[in-house]
Amino acid sequence: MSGDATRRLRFQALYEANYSAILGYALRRAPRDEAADVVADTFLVAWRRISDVPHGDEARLWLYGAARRVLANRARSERRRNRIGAQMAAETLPAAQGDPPETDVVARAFERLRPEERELLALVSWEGLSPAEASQVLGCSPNAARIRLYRARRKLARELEECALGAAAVGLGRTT
Amino acid sequence: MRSGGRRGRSGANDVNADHVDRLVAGLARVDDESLRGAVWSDEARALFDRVTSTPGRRPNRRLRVFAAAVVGAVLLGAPALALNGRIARLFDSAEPAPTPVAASFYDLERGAPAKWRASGSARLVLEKATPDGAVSIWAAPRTTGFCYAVGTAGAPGFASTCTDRTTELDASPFTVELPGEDLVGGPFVIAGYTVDHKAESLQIRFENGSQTVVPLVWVSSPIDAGFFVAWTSKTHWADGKERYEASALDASGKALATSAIEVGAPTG
Repeated sequence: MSGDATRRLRFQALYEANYSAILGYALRRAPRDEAADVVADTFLVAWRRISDVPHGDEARLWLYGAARRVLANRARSERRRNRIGAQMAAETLPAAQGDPPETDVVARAFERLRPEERELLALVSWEGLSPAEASQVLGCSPNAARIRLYRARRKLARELEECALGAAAVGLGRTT
Repeated sequence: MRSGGRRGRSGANDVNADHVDRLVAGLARVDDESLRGAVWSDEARALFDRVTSTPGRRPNRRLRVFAAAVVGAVLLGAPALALNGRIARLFDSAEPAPTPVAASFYDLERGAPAKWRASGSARLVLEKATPDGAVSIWAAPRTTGFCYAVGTAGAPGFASTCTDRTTELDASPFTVELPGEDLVGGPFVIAGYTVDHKAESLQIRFENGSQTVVPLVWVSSPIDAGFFVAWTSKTHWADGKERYEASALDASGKALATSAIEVGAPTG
C-alpha cells in the first residue's frame, strides 16, 4: 500500500473515531455556524500532521489541543472586529432590563473566571477528562493541572457566592 | 491552626468538587450523546472530503487570507528616515498596496458605518527580509484608526484586519499578531503595531530564556503608528506549548506595555 493510502486510512480512522467528540468540543465553545469551521481547521491540522498525531486514546487529547488553539486563533483574530460589533449592537439595541434569571447565575460566575480556568473546568466537566488528560491538552504537567483545577473550582465557588443569588441559592455544597 | 482559620473565614476554600463540576457540566450546550453517529452525516462526509483533498493550505476566511495575492509583489520601500534614532516612514509617499490587499480592507468593514471603513489609499509601510522570505505590512487609514495586512512573499497570501486608535472601541495601544498561523508554513513571524509614541522598539522573550529586540517603524499621519515584524525560528512554534512575551520598549529600554502570546495551531 502506498504511503498516501496509508496516511489516508489512518486519518479516516482518526476522523471517524473523534469527529463527534471534536464537534461537541467546538459546539460547546463556539456558535454553531463557527463550529464547523473549527472542526474543519482542527482536522486539517491533523491531516497535515498525521505522522505527529499519537495513537490510541492520546489522539483525542491531541485533537482537543489542536481545536483549542484553533479557537484561540479565531478569538484573537476576531477580537477587534467583535468590539466593533459590540459597539454597533450597543448603539442599536436597548439595554437588557431586570435581573438575570437564576439559571444564568452559574454561567455568569463561570464567565468571570479567566479563560484558562474556564477551559480547564470545561475539559473536566464537559469533555470528561481527568486532570492528567487535561494536562496533555493544555500542555502542562499533571500536577500543575490538578493544582489549577483545585484553584479554578475554588474560584468558581467564590464567584458564585458573589453573584446576586449567592451560593445557597444555587445549592453550592462544601466538604465537611 | 492557621490554615484552618483561613478556610473558615474565606468560606469557599473547601468546595465540593463534584458539585462544582456538575454545575459547570450544566452549562454545556451540547452533550456528546446527541452527536453520536454524526460522523456518518452528509455534512461530516463533506468535511472529510474537503480536508483530505486539501494538499496545502486552506485560506482563513475570517482573516481574509488571499492565496497568491502577493506572490510576485514588488517589495520596494517607501522613503525611510531616521529621526532621533527612530525609523520613520512617510505614508503619503509610500508605494501603493497591491489591489487585493486594498480590496481586503474595504471588504473587512463592508456595510459598517463610514467611520469604520477604510477611507484612503492603502500603502506599503514596512518590509523586512527574513531567512524564510520577505514579509510586508500594508496599511490604509480610516476615521477611527487604520486597517493593516501582513503578507509574505515566501508563503503566498496575507492576513488583514482593522484597528482603532480611539477609545470608543477599547482600542489597544499595543497589539501583537501571529500571521504565520494563517500563512501556513512560515515565515514564522510576529507582527503588530503600537500607537504609543514613546515606544521605540519591541522585545520578544521566549520560554527558553532567549530574546530578540526589533526596531519599530513609525509611519506618519494619517496612520500615525509604529509597526514591527520579528522573525522567529520555527523551533519556537512547538505546537502551542510555548508562550512568548512581547513588550514595547521606550528609548531607555523600559517596558511600556507587555502582551503574552501563546503559539497557536501547529502549522506546516
